Amino acid sequence: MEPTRPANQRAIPIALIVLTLALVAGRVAWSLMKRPAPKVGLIEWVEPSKAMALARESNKKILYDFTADWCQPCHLLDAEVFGDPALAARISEEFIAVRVVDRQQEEGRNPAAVEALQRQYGVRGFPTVVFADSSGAEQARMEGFGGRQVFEQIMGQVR
Amino acid sequence: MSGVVIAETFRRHVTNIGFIAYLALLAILSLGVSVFNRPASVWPTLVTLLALITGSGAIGPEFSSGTLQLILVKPLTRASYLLSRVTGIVLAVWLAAAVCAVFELTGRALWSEGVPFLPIGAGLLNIMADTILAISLLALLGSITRAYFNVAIYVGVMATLWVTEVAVGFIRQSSSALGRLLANRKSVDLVLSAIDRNLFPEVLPAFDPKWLVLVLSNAAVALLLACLAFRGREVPYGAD
Repeated sequence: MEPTRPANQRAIPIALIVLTLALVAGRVAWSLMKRPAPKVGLIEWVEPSKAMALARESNKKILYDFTADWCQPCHLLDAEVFGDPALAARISEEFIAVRVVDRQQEEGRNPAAVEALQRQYGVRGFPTVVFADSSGAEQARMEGFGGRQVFEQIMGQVR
Repeated sequence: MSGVVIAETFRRHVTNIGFIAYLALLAILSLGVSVFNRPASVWPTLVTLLALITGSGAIGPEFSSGTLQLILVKPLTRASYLLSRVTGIVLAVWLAAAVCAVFELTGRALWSEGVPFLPIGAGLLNIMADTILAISLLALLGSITRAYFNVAIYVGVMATLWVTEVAVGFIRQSSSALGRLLANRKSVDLVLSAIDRNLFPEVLPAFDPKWLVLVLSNAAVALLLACLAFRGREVPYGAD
């Protein structure tokens, strides 16, 4: 007996068409969505555009945390420094904290503000924490994460 | 899809001596690097390489060897056959990725203080998605070419992109007319980077749903195009 042949041997599975359309639609919808403000650790992060004005108003210095989602040492920094209640309180008291998240790997480019800040402070890798005064002049920086003590030592140098 | 084709494709790959040797190498490497490297940092690249090697045989060589003519007389649609072959290969590569993750976790459990389940899990998930994309692209290229031209085109496009990106950077720094012309043309970089990111995305060591949707949607488009190309293609009699 001859095996049953499919009615149309050249048919394209409907499920594949539906799945493709759904994924493409999901991708388009996602790219149109705005990313929520970052909530990492116990720090209240400020938008880069508002940092200088806030720093002048409150007479505080600025802490720029240059980071990326894929960067493992950055997650350690988040957990050990920005997630530590005592350190987070000190940072919030003395600094206007700005989180600058690199999206080059995920999206192929960065928002203009991120690009400008990375260029301004010559960021070569992640994490990089830059301490600046209210005019944006750099006072100290930490490149990479060498542990909580190193961070505290560098932060202590900022006057 | 056909369970028989999936199972047979999977079996043929995992019983191949080359595959087993590569798997052993991956396992040793994953165990070794767990001592000093960051989580899921070395083996994802090697798993991608395995996906390229195994994916190269997805469909193209069957046009050249003449086996396709015999297979297509079976009660199976062309799309089902193609998708089943891709699934079988993907499963074989996933097995290799899972072995790497298990060995790295074991190594870290034995020699490190903490076991980083999350980064390794995210790395595994990402490489699984990336594998689907790489094999789907090879299936697409295989459905429009013959023999192993699919992997040649894949690697060729990847190398051309890289060379073009480097060349654009050099030309920009020169004082030539072309350099001045390219100096303020960000769109060139955006186009190159968009092609690179969509076809050959870098495997992230962290969970990023947006990246996953990008990779999977590209894979789905590639598979759909592969089915459409294979559907209308003349299947030759006999081997080349």
